[in-house]
Amino acid sequence: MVYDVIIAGAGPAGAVLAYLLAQRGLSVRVIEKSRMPRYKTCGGSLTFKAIQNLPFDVSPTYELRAAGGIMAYAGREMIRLELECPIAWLIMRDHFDHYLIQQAVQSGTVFSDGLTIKGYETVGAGIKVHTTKGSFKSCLLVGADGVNSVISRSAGLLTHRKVGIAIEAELVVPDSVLQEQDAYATFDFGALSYGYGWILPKRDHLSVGVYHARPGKAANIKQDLQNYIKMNPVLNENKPISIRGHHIPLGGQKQRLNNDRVILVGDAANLADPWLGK
Amino acid sequence: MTIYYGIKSANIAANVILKYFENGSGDLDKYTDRINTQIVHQLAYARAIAGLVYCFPHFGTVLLQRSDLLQSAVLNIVRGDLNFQQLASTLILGLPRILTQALRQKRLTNAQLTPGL
Repeated sequence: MVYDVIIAGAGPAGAVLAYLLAQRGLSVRVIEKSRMPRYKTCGGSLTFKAIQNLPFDVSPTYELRAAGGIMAYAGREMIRLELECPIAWLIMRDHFDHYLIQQAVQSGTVFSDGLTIKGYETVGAGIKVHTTKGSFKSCLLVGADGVNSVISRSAGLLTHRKVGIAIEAELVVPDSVLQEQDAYATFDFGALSYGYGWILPKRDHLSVGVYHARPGKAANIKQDLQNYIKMNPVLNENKPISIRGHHIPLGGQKQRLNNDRVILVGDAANLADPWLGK
Repeated sequence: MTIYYGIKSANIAANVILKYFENGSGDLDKYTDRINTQIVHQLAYARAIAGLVYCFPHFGTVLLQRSDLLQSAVLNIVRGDLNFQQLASTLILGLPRILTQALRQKRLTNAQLTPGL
């Protein structure tokens, strides 16, 4: 079978694109290297503007509604901002991304997870995508496979990529700490140089992380996270259940994001804001 | 981390791909053009703001603490009611008001802390 579109990657960009195309009758296959649901390093704040751009309701994935923001400096609270209108909801990316791809499948998308793409070749008027478990043909190929995109490299697109880095710990904390944090998202621009730290509450734990926005200067990012946790004594007593890192593409430079048969979307297209890494 | 721009780029890609198949063979270059116009242009402003904020993080946090204009602008950028270009304009045009608010707030705080005033 020759698909109209093959999409590499089942993150938000790939899953939403698959949903929109399948809804309009195109034959779509999504190939994801991880088994879903899978953990993803991400603060997990789903902003109001993101929800407005989604083609379906995602409220079943909400963990908490952000009640406000705490601006801190080097662990010291400076101001607590109350929100009158909804600004963001807090989610876990494993649950959220899984939900999105389920919606795409329900709209007619064929989905394969646990399949790694090795590369692709142009064959006549189409594309042949090679994976660890065989090849698939399509008219178009979309790279939604993240900041380390195989499709981008294979297509020779975005050869000059600037990246920041984020590292995050999921902390199980006592109920008293969860109650203290309430539904407030903390942002701390004194947590490290050229970046910020965050504490985002989830239903039963806290996501604590740091983001470094200067490419190539983040050699001590793990130490930065440990320092940030130490700045907040209530966090320091709790052992993280996981620590994961992730590169953040730093957008803002015009580069070609397509060729005759290939399009890049999301992180694969370097589309993140260099200020907040969102 | 980058959910919003992922979803926005997916919407733009869907429009271009659907046109591609409607016309038999369309022009995918329109995708790059639209991303540059609707997203990358804004991210260039975000890059400039990042340079400013990360060079003076304490000053920026104190201004945010003391200026309701700045607080409102930051909340609106997160919510999506402002884009980065508009935020840059707000920072430039509103700078006198932001600084005035910050200075007035500092005087108030000093007066509250100083006995006898």
